[in-house]
Amino acid sequence: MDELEPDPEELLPRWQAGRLDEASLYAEVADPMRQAARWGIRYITSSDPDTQDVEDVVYVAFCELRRKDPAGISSVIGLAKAIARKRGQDQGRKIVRRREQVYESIENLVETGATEFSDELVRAAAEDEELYLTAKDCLDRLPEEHRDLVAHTIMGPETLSDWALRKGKTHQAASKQKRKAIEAIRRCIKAKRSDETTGREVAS
Amino acid sequence: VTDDGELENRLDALIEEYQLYLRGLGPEPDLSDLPRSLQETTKEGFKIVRALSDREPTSPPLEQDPVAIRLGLVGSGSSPRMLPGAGHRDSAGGEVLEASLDEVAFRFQGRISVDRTPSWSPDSPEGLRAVAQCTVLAEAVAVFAGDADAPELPGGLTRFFRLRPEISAACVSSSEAELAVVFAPADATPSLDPALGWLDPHRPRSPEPLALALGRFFEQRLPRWDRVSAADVFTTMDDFDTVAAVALNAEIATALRARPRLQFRKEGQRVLDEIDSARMASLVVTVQTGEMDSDELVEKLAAMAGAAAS
Repeated sequence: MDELEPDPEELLPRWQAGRLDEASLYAEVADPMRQAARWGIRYITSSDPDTQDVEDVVYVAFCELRRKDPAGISSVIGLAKAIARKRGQDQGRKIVRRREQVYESIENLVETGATEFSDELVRAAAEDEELYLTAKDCLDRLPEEHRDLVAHTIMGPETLSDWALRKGKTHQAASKQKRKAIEAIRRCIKAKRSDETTGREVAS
Repeated sequence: VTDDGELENRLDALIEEYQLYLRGLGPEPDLSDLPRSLQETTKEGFKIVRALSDREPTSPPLEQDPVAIRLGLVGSGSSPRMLPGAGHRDSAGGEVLEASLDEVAFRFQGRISVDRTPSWSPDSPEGLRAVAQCTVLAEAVAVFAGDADAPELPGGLTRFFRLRPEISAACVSSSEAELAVVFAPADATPSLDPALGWLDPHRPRSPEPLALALGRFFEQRLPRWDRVSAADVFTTMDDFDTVAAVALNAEIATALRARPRLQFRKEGQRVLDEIDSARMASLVVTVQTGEMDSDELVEKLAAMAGAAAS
């Protein structure tokens, strides 16, 4: 049983029971942590984060995550994202201070953000990740061009203008397509959730 | 343009504004001018954009993931490191640090000696706690617990290296042994550039777990003893002591022909000149006859080098 790939929902019980290894935990949280790290850095620097900075943040955040006592955790992925976002903000501040060349004059280069994370914050990050997994399923059902648009301009760093230029469209047409794609995903998620609720009611 | 057209344009623009907000390039869009029903659907759309944003590039496979490699999660033959379960946290950071040092010593099969009460403790730079001295051959590494990112650290280490010239590197680690950096004296000393003036010392590398940082340092410095192919011929060769002495004398003569200018190289040449080649050759013969194994040979050579250098 232990040789199987861990299911994200199984992570916490396995960790609490002492049956989770670090590599399996990392494999599950690496992507959500990278996303949260990019957010955190961007939030402070207002620029595309450097890959090395993102990796540094994920490294530090994972070290912090694995030190946590699993008894006090409500969602592993939610906590991983919450930590990575905070450490991303720390890294962002460090980058800004280096940019402003005030490195030498500041005794404590970075005031490290919170080390405890409220349940509310963790739950919000977990819900965010759950929404992402459902949205990703829905994304596969969109027409190819809509999928490409979302993948490049929302999930990736390409600007809408660049995408429109690449596809030979006007910015306005691309903008409309983008909203329609998001609307289609929204409806798909709603339908999925409604199916799940109905399924649960039938089962009970 | 109809009212509907204007509203659609506004909704298109809101998505872009929200993305700019997520990227730290603008304020959160104000939805108060939208009809209430549209406010709800737009907020739901925002949540989807937020959940999907910044997902690319995804993490590479674990074996190629730089973070996983840095964390020591990848490696042939390494057994999985289990996480302690609920209520089993190791609260004493010092114990983790000690355990990491033991891990390094174990990895190098006793070639590293760890002194937990180093004589230089009183000279420790401010903000650092002396933990141990790790010694192998001529390398002596001072291990400290403290913040490897502290801005005053290079200055403190420069002073420490000046006070303790026998220390060849300093390893500064967090108390949990997860963020450690090895500093050589050059990493803590400002350099002078003719055009730019005094330059701050460069940072050696990003922090990584103590066992990795220290392990890599020693791996780079310890001599490598490669297996020689077709060495079997030597086990049956007659007058091996003569052959060994000729080869040894030729190598020493080559090294002595050099004209070193730096003092420590001159010193090295002097030591080489005093080496007893007959004794060296007899050592080689004891290996040939199986009286001494290769590890013992390395120990003997290290002892001879140490005695000559002192």
